Amino acid sequence: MRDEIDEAIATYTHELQAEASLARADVVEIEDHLRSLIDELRAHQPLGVAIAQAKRRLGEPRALAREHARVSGSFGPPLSRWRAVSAVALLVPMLWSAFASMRPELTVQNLEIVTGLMLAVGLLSRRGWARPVMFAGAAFWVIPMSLVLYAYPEHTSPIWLVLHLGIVAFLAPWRRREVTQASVALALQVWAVASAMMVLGFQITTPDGGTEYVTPAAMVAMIAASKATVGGILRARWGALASLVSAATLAVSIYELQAFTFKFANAGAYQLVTFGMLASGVLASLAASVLLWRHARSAFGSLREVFAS
Amino acid sequence: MHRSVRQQRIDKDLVAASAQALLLGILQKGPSYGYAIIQEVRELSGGELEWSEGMLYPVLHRMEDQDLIESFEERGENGRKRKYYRLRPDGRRALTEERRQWDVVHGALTKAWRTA
Repeated sequence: MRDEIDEAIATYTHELQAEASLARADVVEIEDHLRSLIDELRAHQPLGVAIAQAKRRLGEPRALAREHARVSGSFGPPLSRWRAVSAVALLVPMLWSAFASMRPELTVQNLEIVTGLMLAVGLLSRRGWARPVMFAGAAFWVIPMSLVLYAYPEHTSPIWLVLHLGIVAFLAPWRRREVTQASVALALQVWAVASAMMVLGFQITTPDGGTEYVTPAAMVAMIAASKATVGGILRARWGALASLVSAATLAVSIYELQAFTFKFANAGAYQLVTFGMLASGVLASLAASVLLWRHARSAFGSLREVFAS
Repeated sequence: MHRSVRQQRIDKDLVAASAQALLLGILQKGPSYGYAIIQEVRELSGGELEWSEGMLYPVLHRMEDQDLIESFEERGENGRKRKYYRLRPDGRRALTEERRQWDVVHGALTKAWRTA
């Protein structure tokens, strides 16, 4: 009997999740309500009838999911205006500094500036995707920045670390309801982008005076992870495939980086953190690929999510 | 000729408009959870107010986002973890304002219908 109830509840919540990415806490709450309703109704009628009536009283799952999404969005409830403005205010000095050292050719730094501007606009217009993207991007850099500050305190200003920590604090999902599967997938994927960018920081000077990336695979990883992030925002199934590619190429870049010896001060700690962050990027990308696949809306996704708050 | 007058269900716009005021009023009495809130609404309205039960949660979540209420988890009598809601200070202020507004509407309607 319990099995039949569990199965009915699982079917209902599956239909709910197929329409919108709900926070786990919200799904548990609806499950609890459905269970209570069934318990009440089965006292007066056969179990099958009680289940059907309970589902009817709770409402059509897709309509209910749409109503939830209207309040919370696929990537969680909208961020309050003051938190969004505060996070953007902390982003401004970073963007300003990047502008000041901008080079005319296409560089990773220039792409960072464009991404930063898009995120600022996204946050201020309270688009749901902007929050997990910026949160994970800032959270990732807190770790290597802390290490650099610890290893080279006389050459490093703590201001950048403070700015990143501030952004993390303003954007962190302090309530469980603020975390949805789609937002977790996006945050994990951005973590992988940041991992790839970290490795791209390692470059060698060629005999003709140019520079080369130590791990060319990291460039492929960054492009794939960025595409997967876009796929995650669109909630497209292809995002999961791009995510798999980013995981594989990040793993290759770990292999490539192993051939090099770190020869500067505190190299051991730096090496440990670098490989640790890279490995976390591989795992994040793998986990993101599963979540992106499970919670994709369709094969090609929809622009609806881009403009949804 | 026999003509029967059938009472219609309360209009859904009116149900929606009164939802927040009702929820604030119910939670003013103490913390409660979704299923119990629905039961209380039914009891308070003598079964006249029919809410689509699932739709209660988006309303509660919107009120939570507006800091009118907050949620917390506790184990119910059946041992299951359950999400309860309680009023926040902003919610108490909102309730005072809701009451004032509904009193105005109620007073105006009463006077209008008395003179009709």
